Amino acid sequence: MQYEPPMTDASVTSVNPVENKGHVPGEVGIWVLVMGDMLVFTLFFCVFLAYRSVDLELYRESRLQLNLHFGMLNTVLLLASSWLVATSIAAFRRRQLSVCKHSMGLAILCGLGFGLIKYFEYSEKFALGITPVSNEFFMFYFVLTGIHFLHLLIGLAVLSYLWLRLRRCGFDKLSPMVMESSATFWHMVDLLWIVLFPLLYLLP
Amino acid sequence: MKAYLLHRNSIVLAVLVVLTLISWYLGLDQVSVEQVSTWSGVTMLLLAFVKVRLVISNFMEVRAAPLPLKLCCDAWVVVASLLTISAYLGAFS
Repeated sequence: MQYEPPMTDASVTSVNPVENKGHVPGEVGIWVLVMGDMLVFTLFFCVFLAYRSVDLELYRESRLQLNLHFGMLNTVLLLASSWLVATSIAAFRRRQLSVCKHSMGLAILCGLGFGLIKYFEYSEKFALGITPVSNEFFMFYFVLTGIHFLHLLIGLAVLSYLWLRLRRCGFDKLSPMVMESSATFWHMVDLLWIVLFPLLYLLP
Repeated sequence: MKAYLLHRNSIVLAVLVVLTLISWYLGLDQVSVEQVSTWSGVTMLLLAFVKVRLVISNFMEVRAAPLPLKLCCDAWVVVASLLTISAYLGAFS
């Protein structure tokens, strides 16, 4: 695939034209947070898998009680929302308010869809009497998906704020830095789920 | 809107969805032979980290970022995938 730079416009990005050695999307601070979060989650993944390999049968049997289709649907929803947020950022740079606003709104809807499916999934488990104390697998399942869900809620709050600002004030007072930093956080929510999905739902 | 739909990111999204469906299909297909199960698990994890790399590079725009950020992200993908696959294969138990 040919290299194609992001859809940017120097007047509406945080690129410093004097030092054009690549563009950091968003604040450097958000990248420190994202990298830190990803490292912590890497530790979670390894701890889960280490415990799993000690009692493989329990984990295999428990995994079969999860709804694979919900997991797959949620992955597709988060991927679509990430694409929509990336589209919104591109439209922001091109000063196309309508596309920017609607893409952001649809991304929020995808995120809400994820939350709704998670609600059904948790309800299904509780109805079957499955709770975090049922066994070790479900303790990990609820803790890992719960921490991820917390990230999702923070991301949704940030995206909703941006969407409301875009609706009320247009591009006024919304800096590229804020838009890009928020998008970076949202993409992290997506990529953490990309690993959690096979880890919890798929591994044989 | 057409410009956005025809953008590279749309192709990336299509690839990501296809990879997700492949993983999902592998998960549905319950295999009983131990050797095959292990490798399908490794394949699922590898697919996941390929997807992670695609998201970081394209949606997060790291491919247009300065070299240090690119290196940090790629280092995380390599280390996280190696550690996760090793843990799955029982290296830490």
